[in-house]
Amino acid sequence: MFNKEKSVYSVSQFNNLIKSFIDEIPPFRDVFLKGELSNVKYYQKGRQLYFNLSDGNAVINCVMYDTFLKQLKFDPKNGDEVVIRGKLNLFVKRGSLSFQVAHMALAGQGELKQNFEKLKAKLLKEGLFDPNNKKKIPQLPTKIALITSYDSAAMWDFITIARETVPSMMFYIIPSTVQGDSAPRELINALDIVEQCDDIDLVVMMRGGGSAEDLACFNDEALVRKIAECSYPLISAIGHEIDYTLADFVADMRSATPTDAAKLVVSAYLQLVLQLQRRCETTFHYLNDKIEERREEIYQRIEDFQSHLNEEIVTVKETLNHKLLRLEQANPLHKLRQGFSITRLESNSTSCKSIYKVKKGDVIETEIYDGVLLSKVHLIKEKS
Amino acid sequence: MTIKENLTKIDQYLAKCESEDIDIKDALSCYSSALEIADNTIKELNTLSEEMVLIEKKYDTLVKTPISFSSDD
Repeated sequence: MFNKEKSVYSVSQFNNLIKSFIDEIPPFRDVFLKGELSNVKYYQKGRQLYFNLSDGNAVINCVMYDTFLKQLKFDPKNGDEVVIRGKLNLFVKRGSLSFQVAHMALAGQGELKQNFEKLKAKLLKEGLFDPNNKKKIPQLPTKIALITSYDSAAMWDFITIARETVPSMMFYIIPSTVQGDSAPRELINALDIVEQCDDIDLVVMMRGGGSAEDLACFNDEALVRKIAECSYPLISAIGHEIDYTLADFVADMRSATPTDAAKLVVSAYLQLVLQLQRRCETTFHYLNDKIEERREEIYQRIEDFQSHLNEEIVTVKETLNHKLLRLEQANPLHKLRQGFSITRLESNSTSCKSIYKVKKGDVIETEIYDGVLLSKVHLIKEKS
Repeated sequence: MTIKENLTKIDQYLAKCESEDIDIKDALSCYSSALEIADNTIKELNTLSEEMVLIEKKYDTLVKTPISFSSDD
């Protein structure tokens, strides 16, 4: 395996060797490059500028330090077509190559951006972006097809946020590469799979943020046309707030990020829950009011009934007292107390109510209040 | 018997007591019976009053106990 004639280097030695080689080769020491800016970012409080330079086929990482930044006559932005002058540099410790820029100037509109605008105008003219062609996004979707990189942060962000509001929501994950040369083809294949489904409500095509090169696959003409033909409503959620791809224009709706797409999808559910809560509260208040009314009514009726019954009882008692008075007046014993007496024939104890019921010599009983007198009839006198 | 029937019975006994044809023994008997019915009637009326008070107390508690629904129910 190891040839005795070959030297064995350490990594440091090898990297240093490469660096010395690069530093010595004229094309690498002072060279002009032309290309389009992307992924422009400032670091170290604006004292270092990092960016990528691309010609559509290849990319090189670039850095511009404070000393040279001060000489810039414009504010570099993504998409700017520029010419830069500098040298290739190898960072020995990391083993990474970058182009150290000494000078940079605008060279006209970026080619990538030009191509983008050209295709956009063409598709716009064909009517692919016509708002009248947009399909309505379902308000309460229950099954959603997600076209995205499997197990990505974008996928889990979407599912997590959606399921917080609608735990029962179903997802069909159709994995696809979402950057690079193979991405358009895979995304188109994913849309073909979607067309074979017959029970989904919505398609969401999404990925997280990235550079313009990363998102370039979503500007692919064939993909854009495929999205336009999709028979299901489709939401695009690609990149960041400010990133707009042609897929975003042709989609039925565009969300700035996968997170925003998830919130959009469940927004109607949240509205529905709020409405139901309000309706419940209104109903509860109404029922409470009704119950209070009926309680008052029942209470009043009980009071009225009690009042009426009490009146009746008083009336009956008065009637009864009146009858008792009459009864007392009719009490035979009351008559005896007044001095009246009751006379009976001793022989048969019948009351003597007439002189013709007795004859001389009959023994009669006279009942007075506190006793009985026995006597014999001596004389009978008729009342004149 | 109902209170109304009691009052009717008392009237019947009264009519007999106040009749001129009634024998003194029958009159005494009617008088006693009428008194007994009158006593029972008064007791029933008092019981009715007491029951009404109990009912009022029961419904007073029931009606005045607030019942309220909430969205947590």
